[in-house]
Amino acid sequence: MLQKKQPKPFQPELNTERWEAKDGEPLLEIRDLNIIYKTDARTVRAVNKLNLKLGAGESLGFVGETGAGKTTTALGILRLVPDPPGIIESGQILFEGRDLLGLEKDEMRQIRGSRISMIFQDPMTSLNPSMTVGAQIEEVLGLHEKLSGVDLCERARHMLEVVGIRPERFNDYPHQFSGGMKQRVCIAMALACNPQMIIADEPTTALDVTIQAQVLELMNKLKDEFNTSMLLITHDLGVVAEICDRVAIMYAGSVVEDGDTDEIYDHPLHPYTRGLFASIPSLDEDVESLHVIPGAPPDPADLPSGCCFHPRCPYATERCRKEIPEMRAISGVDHQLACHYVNEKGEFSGKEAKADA
Amino acid sequence: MLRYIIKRILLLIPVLIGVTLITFTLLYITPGDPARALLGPSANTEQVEQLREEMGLNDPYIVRYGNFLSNLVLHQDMGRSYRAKQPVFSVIMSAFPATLKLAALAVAIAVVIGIPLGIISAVKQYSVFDNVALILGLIGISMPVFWLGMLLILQFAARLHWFPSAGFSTFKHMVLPSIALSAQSIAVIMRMTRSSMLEVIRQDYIRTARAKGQTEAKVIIHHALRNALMPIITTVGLQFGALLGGAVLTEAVFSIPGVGRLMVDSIKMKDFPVVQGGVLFIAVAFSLVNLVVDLLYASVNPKIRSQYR
Amino acid sequence: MKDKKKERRFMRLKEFWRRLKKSKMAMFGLVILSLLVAIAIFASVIAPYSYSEQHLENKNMKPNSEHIFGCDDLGRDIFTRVIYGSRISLSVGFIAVGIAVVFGGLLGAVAGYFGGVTDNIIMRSMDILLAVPQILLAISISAALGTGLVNLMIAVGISSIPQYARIMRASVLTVKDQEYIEATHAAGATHLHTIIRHIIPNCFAPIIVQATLGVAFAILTAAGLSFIGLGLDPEVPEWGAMLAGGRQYIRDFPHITFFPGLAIMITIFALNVLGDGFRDALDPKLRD
Repeated sequence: MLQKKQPKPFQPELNTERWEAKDGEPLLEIRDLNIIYKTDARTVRAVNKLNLKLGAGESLGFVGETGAGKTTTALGILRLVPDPPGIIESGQILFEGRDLLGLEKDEMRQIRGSRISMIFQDPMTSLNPSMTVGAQIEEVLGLHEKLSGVDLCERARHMLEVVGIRPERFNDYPHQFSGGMKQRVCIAMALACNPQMIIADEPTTALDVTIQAQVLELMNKLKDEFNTSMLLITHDLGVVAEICDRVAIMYAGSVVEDGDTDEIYDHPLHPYTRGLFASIPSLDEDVESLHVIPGAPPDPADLPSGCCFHPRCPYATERCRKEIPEMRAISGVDHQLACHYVNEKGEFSGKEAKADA
Repeated sequence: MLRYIIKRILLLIPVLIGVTLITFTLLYITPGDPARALLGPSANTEQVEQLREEMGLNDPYIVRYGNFLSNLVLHQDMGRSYRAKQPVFSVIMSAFPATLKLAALAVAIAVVIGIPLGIISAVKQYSVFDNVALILGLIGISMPVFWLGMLLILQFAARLHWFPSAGFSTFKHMVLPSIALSAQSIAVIMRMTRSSMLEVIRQDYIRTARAKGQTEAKVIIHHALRNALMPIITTVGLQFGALLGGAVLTEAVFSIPGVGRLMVDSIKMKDFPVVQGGVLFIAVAFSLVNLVVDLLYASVNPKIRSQYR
Repeated sequence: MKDKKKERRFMRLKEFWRRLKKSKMAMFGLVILSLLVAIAIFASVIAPYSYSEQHLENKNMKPNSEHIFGCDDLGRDIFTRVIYGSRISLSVGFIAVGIAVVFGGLLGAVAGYFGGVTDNIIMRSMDILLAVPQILLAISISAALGTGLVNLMIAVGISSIPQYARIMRASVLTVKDQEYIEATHAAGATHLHTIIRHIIPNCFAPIIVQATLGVAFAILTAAGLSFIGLGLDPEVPEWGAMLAGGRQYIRDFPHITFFPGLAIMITIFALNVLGDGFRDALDPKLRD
């Protein structure tokens, strides 16, 4: 339904610069990132020694339970963590070879919306209600592109067309659009300056189920068309399988397992990842009751010692309680994880301690 | 937009008719005989009775109200002042400009000072600035205008001789009264701006604007303030009404020949048609200001704008 | 079941108190207001002199150890008059707001509860009252009624009615649709019973906030009316009237106007911070 009319190609005076990776250097590399929310009463460790890599042109699914720190990580990349109470405590965020955390405010602003843009979770509240959608797309273009008035408008209209909205609706206000249409506007805004990377924070959770598929399909298509890398935050493993080249599983503020999507889906190794997969309802099998990971995610203000997952892990031992597991790679495949009981051949040696812990 | 303006003006008419009913009724229940008041104590009972008949004072309430309304609408006739022996309309018209100037100046001061202070307070929530502004604001709304006026006279007129303490002829005369009158409104507008901005700054679209790479100043002015403006505009409109009322007290303190002082004098002299006219005049002025506020409101509110396109 | 409801209400009150206590400003206001109420009640015990007795030999006396606020133009002790003034101002404030809450609340409740034509007539009338600035409305009502303490209360009270009618109506409308109201209807309750038993207790919070700020406004308005000579006899120790009396001596004897003005300001300040505290403590949006 999107391809009613092929949008006419736009005169490419836009910044279409693509970053050239040197010797497999990733586009985005997060090293030991720590982000905390500090209030008088308590300190919440939202992101806890997080490591993550994203290659140019790749799309990475960023999966975890609510409260695992996914959105905080995304905001951290853009340095938009609300301060106070949020503080980016330490770590590095290397993007196109530069550490974003070391940039001046002005330099960072030039990156936002132009090199990295973000699509937020709730399109209902993410658009300024007192500006026309056209003006909101023009705004981001005006900030980053050297376009004159007419070209600005032309490009903004073109972007509406690209996301499947009639350009005549340029002067309409957000309240005149449905949720799905608003998210399309957000996508148009995010892609307007042809960014190197897009962060999409659960872009479809606030939408109707029927609309979700359309929006995802659109994003997937445009990502390829614009040759953009994407960090897709979601808790929907099905979506990841469909769209993402790689996947990273997050638990209690850090990545516990990541790698090639097919590899991870075929051979999930971390006990948490396996728990996640086991809790997906399957259409093929008729299961009486779904598997549930016992216990609740840890309180980020009071993280457990050692491996954060140990209180809920059926294989936990004394070592898991004391020692934080290092991230290690499985040889021969794109697959890393942090568990004491997996060796580099990808063999799991943990034993179920008790039937009921 | 035109349709909206027409609709608002049509809605204004019943309110204004209602105001005439209130002012008429208040005069109606006020003790004292207007005919006697007009003729003075020397007139005899027959003369008074004759004038009563002429003025229609013996007619039933409804008839009298009908006459009052038709005179008002058709001839701008609000009766005659007992004291000045002149039409009420012209008596009030001569006093009205001073009141309007005073209130308008106070509104302008309140907006120009109150809104920026409120914005800074909200952006720097919990800072020293915010706390000082908060306390000053609370003191501002707690300060009776007539007391503040007297303190200003004491300091700047009696002690420093910077400004005159009474009258309203030159700009210098207007300084102290408009400061005294605006103090409370500065505080109210500042508090409203602060809370409205705080509400808006938390919204997702502010984050979206930042994620676009917009500068912080523009995020605050273009995105936040624009959306925070609606309740602020309403507050400013209401403040204008409060200021028209407060002008009565301010005029008393600074001996300004405005409608307020005229009304107070007229009450003391039992010259009630002038009181009635004054209330009506100020209510009409307030309603017109509210109309303008509503139109302004509509012009920044896309929902109304698109509804009446 | 009734006990449970009572208990829930008690819990809500405790929660409200816990949050109110967190605001230093609100507690400050509460302490000052309590002090003022105590001063008003025990005025005759605290005041060192008579509030009406004139000692012309003390005329315009500046503050000293015997008359800590000095004396006014008729040689009356200002400290005593300020103390007694709290009685008048607080009672005018509370009674005027009482009048406004009762009548405004009732009108608003009826308008919201019945809706339709009733609602339209009542609320349009309120719009008309709101078209006249409040002080002006109070002035013209008090002009029509004449001076005196009771008339002052009535004038200020009537001019505040529309605010409470609006709040009450809005509260009733939100409560009205909730299920338990329908349930009481099904159980055969009368309209009046429903309004009194169920809706009014639930509209309490916004009314309390507005009433606290309203008392402040009523005191200010009453003082203003007295100041322009529409309130009370100059004999009566009312703060606004005291300001008016001392006005002509402002250049040479500012102490006559300073202390009554300060008293008004402190009272209004206390009520305002308390009102703000109530609002924050009752606002569910701020609940943590």
